[in-house]
Formats: sequence, structure tokens, C-alpha cells
Amino acid sequence: MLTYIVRRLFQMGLTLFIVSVISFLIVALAPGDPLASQLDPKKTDADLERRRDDIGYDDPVVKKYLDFYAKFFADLGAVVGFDGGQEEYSWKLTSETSKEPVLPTMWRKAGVTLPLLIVNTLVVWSLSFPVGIYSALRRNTPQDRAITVISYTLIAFPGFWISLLIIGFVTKTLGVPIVSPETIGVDLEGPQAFFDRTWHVAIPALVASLTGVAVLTRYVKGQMLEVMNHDYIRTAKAKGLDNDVVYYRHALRPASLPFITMIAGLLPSLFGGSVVFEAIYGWPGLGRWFLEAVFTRDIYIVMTSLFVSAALTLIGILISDILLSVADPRVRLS
Amino acid sequence: MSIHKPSSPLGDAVRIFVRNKPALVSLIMISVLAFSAITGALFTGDKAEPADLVRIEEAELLGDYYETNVKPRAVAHPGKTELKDTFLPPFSDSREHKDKTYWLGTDDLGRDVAARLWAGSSISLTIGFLAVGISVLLGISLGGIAGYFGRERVGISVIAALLLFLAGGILLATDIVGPGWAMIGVGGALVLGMLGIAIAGGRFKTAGFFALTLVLTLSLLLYNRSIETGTPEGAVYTEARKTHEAAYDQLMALRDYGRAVKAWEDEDPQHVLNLPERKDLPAWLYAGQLDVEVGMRLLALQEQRFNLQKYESALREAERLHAEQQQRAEYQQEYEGAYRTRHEESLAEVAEHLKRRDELFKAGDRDAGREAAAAADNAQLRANTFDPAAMMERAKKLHETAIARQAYVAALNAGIAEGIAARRKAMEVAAAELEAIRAKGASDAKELRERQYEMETVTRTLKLAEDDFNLADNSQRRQAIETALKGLTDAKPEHAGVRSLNDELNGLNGRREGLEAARKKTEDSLADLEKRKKEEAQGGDVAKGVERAFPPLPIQGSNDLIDRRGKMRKAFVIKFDTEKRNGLTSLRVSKQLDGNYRYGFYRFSSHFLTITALVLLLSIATLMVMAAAQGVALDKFKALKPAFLPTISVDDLVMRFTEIMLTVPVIFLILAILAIFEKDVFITMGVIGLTSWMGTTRFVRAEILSLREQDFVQSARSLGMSDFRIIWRHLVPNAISPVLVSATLGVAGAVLAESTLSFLGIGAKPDQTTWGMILSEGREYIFDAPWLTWIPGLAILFTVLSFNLLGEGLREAFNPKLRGR
Repeated sequence: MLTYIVRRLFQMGLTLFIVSVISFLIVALAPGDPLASQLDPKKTDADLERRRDDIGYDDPVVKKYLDFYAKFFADLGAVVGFDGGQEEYSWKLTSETSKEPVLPTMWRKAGVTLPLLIVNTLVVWSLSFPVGIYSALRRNTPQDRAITVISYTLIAFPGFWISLLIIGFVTKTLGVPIVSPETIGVDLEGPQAFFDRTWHVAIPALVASLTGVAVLTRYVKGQMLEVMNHDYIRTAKAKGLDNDVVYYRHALRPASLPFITMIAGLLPSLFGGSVVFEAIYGWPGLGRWFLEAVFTRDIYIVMTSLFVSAALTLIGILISDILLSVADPRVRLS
Repeated sequence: MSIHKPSSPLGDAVRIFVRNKPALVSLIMISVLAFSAITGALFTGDKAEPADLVRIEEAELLGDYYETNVKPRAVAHPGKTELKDTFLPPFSDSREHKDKTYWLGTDDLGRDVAARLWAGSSISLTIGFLAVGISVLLGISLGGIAGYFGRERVGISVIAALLLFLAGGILLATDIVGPGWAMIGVGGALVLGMLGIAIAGGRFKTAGFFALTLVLTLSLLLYNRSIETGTPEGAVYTEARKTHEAAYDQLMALRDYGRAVKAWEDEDPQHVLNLPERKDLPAWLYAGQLDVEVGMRLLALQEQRFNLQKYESALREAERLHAEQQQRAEYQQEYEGAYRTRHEESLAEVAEHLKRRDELFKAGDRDAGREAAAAADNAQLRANTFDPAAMMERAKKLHETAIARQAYVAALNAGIAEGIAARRKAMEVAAAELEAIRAKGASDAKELRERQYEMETVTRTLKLAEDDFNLADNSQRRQAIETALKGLTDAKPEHAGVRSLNDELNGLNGRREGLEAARKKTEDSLADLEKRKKEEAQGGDVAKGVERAFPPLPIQGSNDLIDRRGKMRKAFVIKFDTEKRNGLTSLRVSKQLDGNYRYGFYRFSSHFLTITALVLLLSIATLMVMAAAQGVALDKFKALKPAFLPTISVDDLVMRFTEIMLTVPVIFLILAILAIFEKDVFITMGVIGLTSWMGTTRFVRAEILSLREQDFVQSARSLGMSDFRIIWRHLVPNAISPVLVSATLGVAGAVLAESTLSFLGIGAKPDQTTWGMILSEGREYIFDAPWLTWIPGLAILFTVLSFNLLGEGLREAFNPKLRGR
């Protein structure tokens, strides 16, 4: 087990290296000026020129690559706590537009996105399993057909459109502000603040989970049907076992094994999962941060996000593989 | 036993598909859509229809592109263009032409939504199909390679050679030529590497090919070397190259100083702040590389830089705080109106409830009365929450802080401006003096220069002294330290902290004294200068008379000075100007670095052959070793396969690459790539295609893996069919149905992805109409003109739904195992 993890970590390192090279080349070879978005009239050409020198805009690509990752890992070390005992650590990676250090900002933004992601995940996983199993057990009944039609429609819904309609309805008809993580301009305290936040989290998270629920429901149903066709289920039924025991002990457990691999996608979805919803609902979270960085060509943010999300994906895959080996005795890690 | 007609698999599939009603309806709907897309492209493609109207703000953003491509068409200017048919709801007649009906309404620019939807269908669907085409093509070829040739081994050495090629290409390309060439270089290296793998993995006898290439490469290298060292021209060239290199480095360094001097003359403190610190400045000065005047100025500049830095940081901080406060104040004011309304509404409600309560009490209905009273309390509570008075109080406080900050910033600015003005005045005086002394003649020239310097130094010192005093923290800190020290000294006289504080205090005291002395000295010398200037003014008339009597001769010393000044300007200022104008600006526009470019161009011409030859040589050498080892191991003597040469299968290679691509979040990748290129819907399409092939690759590989073991493939192979024929005649037809299914689902995904990207504002150019664009433009008018969001939204919804249902229908029809689900 330990050797397996060590080997996987080594492989992850290699993959990360290649990912870092590819993503760096995409960003670094791009035409376009990272300083072009700085429309500060006080800045003269010479200022921009100097800033270009500072960020090594004209350096060879290899040097840029090494520079970037040297800075990145130095900052990462500082985040973890190896900052060489300096009291005031000066961050090496800073945003070109806002001058904020990248990694602490990323940490802060992750805190904004996290509630959204958690509620979204809870809704998706707690809704789609019961519905999917129900649909599989009552195959070809009107209920099943209704569930199928609804899930197809939900898959086809453009998420941004439904969000717009809901924002329109809630703000116009109900008169409740739901854009941004909390009501702006009012100092709420105690339970009021709690309910305000809950309300603001619930709607984007629910809308964002519509597609997820539909897809996962169909997947759960497919898995259940697949397992139900196996001989051992028939044997179990033939033994005269209670239907609930057959379904929930014999069928559900093997049917839910593939979903463990889906846990891998949860970590990186912190980044990419809610770009659109954050943009629409005005959440200053990771996705919107990245989107803005992309628009302003803030390459440090773009590079850092790409790297961190790739690392999170790999960590997620490793965790899900280990979990799978724990849950499924047939899988041997070697 | 009944005899029944043998049924073909295709016939079965069609029969099953026809029985699936939703899929059939979807197919019909998609056919209608496809028809509308084709006609939409034919009829609304390039005409100045209302569908092509572009908002003027967007037109301005488009710049040149707008001038050449969009301007000839109609452009709606919100202020200037008279728009008649704006915001017509669906099924309404045109206000201008009564016989014209807008079935789906019009938008804010009076464009027919139906026409836009029609035009958009062609782009949106084309994007969907082409993106899926790209991804399916990539997926099939990579999956096919991984599945069919998966067991072929590729030596690590091949991969090393490939990486070497890549690295060589990237290094060669990016360091010396621009990104465009880098792409070509990398692409070429990839193709070459692939070719190498294919040839090396197959046949041992192709070693001859490598030998030939090796010989060619070596001869190229030798030829290049012989030219560089062997011939007299080559020797001269090498020498010249070295000189050029050295001269170029110096030129670059000098250019920096030229910039600094220019900036200083422009009286811009920001530039002085930006002056790079050079330790070798005095050495340069003595070595005669720098004009004395310039050198002295630069040394002075370096000193001044430290002073300015203090100001700069204080100013930055103040500005930041000011902006922050101001914004908060604005924010508060903006919301104040809304809260006032809520407040007043709530107060009115309170009054109403109270009135009702009184009436109810009077009528004797005490329960309802109590309820009304509670309601009144609630309304009062709400009114208190939204009380504008408290809001205003807070906003006022914030505003006051902002004003104070502004005053602080203004004071700082004034301080700097004052300093600059004083210095400019001093320089004007010195310049006037220079003129006077030049008129007087040569003997005074030297003195003039000395005094000019004196003047400048004195002014500068004065400024420094004043600045230091202005920055009041000196004395404050001293006092603080004194107080702290007193307490500390009483308690622990031998403590290290006390000692260091003592030292600091002494230093500050000394500095203060020094500053006082400097200030005094400066004032004295200024007075002295004024005095001398007065004396000269008195003697000026005499000199003028002399000059009239004897026109000035060209005098050596004076001219020397003027020459030197001129040279200095030429070398550092004017040179910089022209450099900047000719080199920097134009090259920056073409996204190249000036110095790197020219230096690189020369290096490119001289080293290109050498580097290319080296890269080729190394790669081919590794390829040779690999080919030899692998050819022997695979084809002839398996036992002799060298253990030290690990191998990796083609399958591993392709699938690891696929996994790597899966690791990068797709939406991120798309955003990152799209940010690079200009907005264009076809680039969006390409990017969607290039980032969505991984799933297809994985299941095509699985499909091919299972197919290639089946009997009919084995028998085809035993008949001596070629790989190519087996793949095209046997494998592809069998694997095509799942690909078809996934492609159909892929179109749905691509349409959705494109509309999302267009909605975020990165998918399409403003004059490319896609459904996402229409929806995104209608978003502003969601309350006033809801049909602008509903119609494109429903179009996207039904298209995606149809493709999904069709895909599911196809899957069911082709895959008998799934039937009955």
C-alpha cells in the first residue's frame, strides 16, 4: 500500500511536470501583452517598460518557466510555513492588476467558493441516488418515464439561462436580493446574517446542481440496471431473500462502486465547477477570479490556477483509487 | 421449427429506432434545424440585414477590424441612429411598414429576433458539428492507434529523442525567433519525431536511412564549422561577431542610462525612482565610457532615488486609501435612496397599522387589534433597520475621512511639485548665467560650469534637507526613542536593545545636525550665488558693449563644452529617442523585443546551422541506438533485449497523454486558450473540439481492443490483409455506431458549451450571431423585453434536448444489450 502510494506520487509528479509545461507553453507563447490592460494614465511607456523587465516579459521561455515555478514554490513554502523564519514574508507572485499576492488571494477566494460547492455536492449526491434507484426499480413505469423526461430536459437546460430567469423572478417578483454572497450594504447580525447567507448560497447552489442531479440520476439508474441483470441477484431473489435486502445490500453496493471514482472530480471542481454561476451570481470566488484574470491576461493567476487545479485533480484521483480499493475487495493496489 | 427471414443488424437497428418516438421526433426536429441552418447561412450570411447591426461601443472596441469589415454594413448608434421598431413583442406589426410582422419580436436595436435566430442557427449548429468533427477525428485516430498498435513497444529512448526534438525546437524557436516560428518549430519537431518512431518501430533495415541522415548532418556541421574557422572570411566574421556582441551589450546598457537621463531632464520623479541601480557606474565614469556630466548626474540621481522612494510609497498608500474610502462612500450613497424608500414605506405601514388598531379597538375586536399592533411593531422595526439617518451618518464619516486623505495626498503632491519648481527655477537661473558667461568669453566658461554644478548640487542638497524635514518622522521618531530610551536606561542600562536604541538615537541626532548644517551651508551658498549674479548683471552691460565692438570669436573652451554637451545629448538622449521610436515602438507593436530581436536575428543567422545540426545529431544518434536495440529485441532475438533499455507501449504513450489532458479542467483550458486569440466563433469551435476528444479516444480504444481479438479480424490477418485494410474494412465499420452515438451527444454538448462561452462574452465576435450572443444581449432587458432571453434560451434547450434524445435513441438501436431499459 505504502509503496503503491509512493509510486503513484512519483507518477503524479511526472504528470504534473508535463501539465505544467503544456499549460505554461499555452500561456507563455500567447501573443498579447499582460500589461495592455493597465490603462492607468499615470503610467508612461517607460513605466510599462520597466514593469516588463521586472516580470521578465522579454526573457526566454525556459527562463520564464523556471522563474515562475521558483516563485510559485517559494510562495507555496511560505503558505505551508517554511518561510525561513521571516516575520514579514514578501510574496513573490503578485497579481498584475490588483497587486495582491496570488496564493493568499486564492486561499481567500476558495473560502468564498467552498459553501457553494459543498451545498451543490450535497444536493446532487443526496437527490440523485434515491431518484436513480427508484427509477431503476420501477423500470418502464410512468414514474420512471417521467423521471427520464425530466432528467433529459434538465441536462439540456443552459444553466446560465435558467439562472437569469430565476434571478429575474426572485429579485423582481419576490423583491429579495440574491446576487452576491450576502446582501450588500446592510450590517446584519446573528440569525439574520445566517439566514441571509443561507438564502444567498441556496439559490446558485440549487441551480448549479440541476444538471448534476440529472446526469448522476441517469448514471445511477444505468448502474443499478447493469447490476440487477447479474446472476447472483437472481440467485439472491431465488433464495427468497427480502427484496430490500437484495436491492440495498446485494445490488446497491457493487452498483455504487463506480461513483467512488467521481469523488476525484470534486476537488478540482472548486476551480472550474462554478465559473459560470459565479459570474452570473456575482460571487467573488475562484472561478470568477480566474475568468477575470484570463480577461486581463494576468498570467500569474492563470498559471497558478491551472497548476493547482491539475494538482487537485491528481490528488482526487489518488484518493478515489485508494477509497475504491478499501470499498471493493476485488481491487488490489499494486 | 419455424423458418424466419435472417435479419440484418442495420435493419434491426432501424426498426428499433423507428419505434422510439422521442428519438424520431428529435430526428425530425434536427432535420428542420439543419435545413434552417443551411438556408440561414445562404440567405442571411453577408447582407446588411438588421441581423448584422452592431452596437457602436462594440464597434469601437473592434478597432481596425471594425473599420474594414463591419463599417460598410449598417451600424446602429444609440444616440444618433433613429430606430423605429425597437422592443416589439412577438407577433406584432412593424411600426413603419404595416404589412410586416415580427413573429418573434424585435430587440433593442430593432432587429428581427426571428431573423437573428435563423442566422444564429447556422453558426451555432456549424460550430456544434465541426467541433464534434474535430474531436471525433482526433478521438478515433488516437483511440485507434492505442487500440490497434497498442502492444507495439516504444523505447524510452524514442521518447527521449522525441522530447529532445521538442526541447530543441522550443529552445531554438522561442529564444531566437518569435512565437509563430516557435509553433512551426515545435510542430515540425513533433512530425519528425513521429516519423522517426514509425520508421524505427517498424523496420530494422531503415537504419540505413538514419546513417544517411547522420552523414548529412555531420557534413552540414563540418561545413558550417569550416566556414567559421577555416576561411579568412570566416575568421573575420567570427571576430566581427565577437565585437558586435560586446558592442551590443554596451549599447543596451548605455541605452538604459540614456533613458534615465532623459527622464531626469523631463523632471519626472517617477522616472528617477525607476532608475536601475548600477554599482559599476564610477568605474564606467573613470574608464571614459560615460561623459563626465552624465556620470555626475547619474550619481546624483541614484542618491535622489532613495529620497523619492519614501514619497512614492507614502503617496501610493494615500492614494489607495483615498480611492477605497471614496468608493465606499459612493456605495453607501447609492444604496441610501433605496433604503430611504424602504424606510418611508415602512413608516407609512406603521401609521396604517396603528390606525387600523385604533379602529379595531374602538370596534371591540381586541385580538385583531393586537395583531395590528404587532404588525405595526414589525413595520417599525423594519423602518429602524432602514433608517437613512444612521446610513447618512456613516457615509458622512467615510466621506470626511476621504476628504482628509485627499488633502494629505494634495499636500504630498504639492510638496513634490514645489521641489520640482524650485529646482527648475534654479536651473533656469543657471542657464541664464551660462548665457551671460558665454557672452563674456572663454576664460569664464570653466567657472560657469563649476558654478552651474555648484548651483545644482546646492539646490539638490537643499531639497534633500527640506524633504527630510518635511517628512516629520525624523524628529518624532527621535522623541519616541528618547522617551523609550529613558525608561529603558533606568531599568536595564546594559541591555542590547538599549544600546542599539542609543546608537539609533545618536545616528538620528547626528543626521539632524548634519542636515541643519547642510541647510545652513546651502542657504549661505545660495545667498553667495545671488550676490555674484548681481555683480555679473552689473558687469553685463560692459560685456555687451565689448561684444558689440568685437564680435565673439569662436573660442575653444566654450565650444568644447557645447560640443560635449551636444555629444552627450546625442549619445544618450537623442539616441535613446530614436532607439525608442524606431526600435522599441515598432517592434513592440509586432510583439517582439527590440534588443532580443536584433541580437537574435544575428545569432539566428550565425548559429542556426550549428544548433540545428546538433539537435539533429543527438536525436538521430539516440534513434539509432533505439532502432538497433529494439529491432534486435523485437524481431530477431527476444532474449537479447538489453535490460537497460526500458520500453513503453504505444498504448501507454497515448493513454497517458489522454490522462494528462483530462487532468487539466476543460473549462479552464478553453478559457485560457480563448483569452489568447481574438474573439472568433470558429476559434471557439476549434478549442472546444481540441479539448473534448478524450472520452472518444478512451472508448474507441476499448472497442478496438475487444474487436481485434475476434475471429473475423484474426482470419483477415491470416489471409495476409494489411493493417490499413483491416482497420478500414473490419474495425471501423464495427466501431462506428458508438462513435455516432457519442458524436450526437457531443453536438449537444458543443452547442451548450458555445452558447455558454458566448454568454460569458468570449465566444464570438459582435457581428457573429450565435444563440448565446442573442441571449447575452437580451440579458440587460430581462424585465422589459423577456422574449429576448426566452426565445434563444428555448431554442438552445430544444436543440440540445433533441440531440440528446437522438443520441439515446441511436444508442438503444445499435446496442442490443441495452434494449428494454
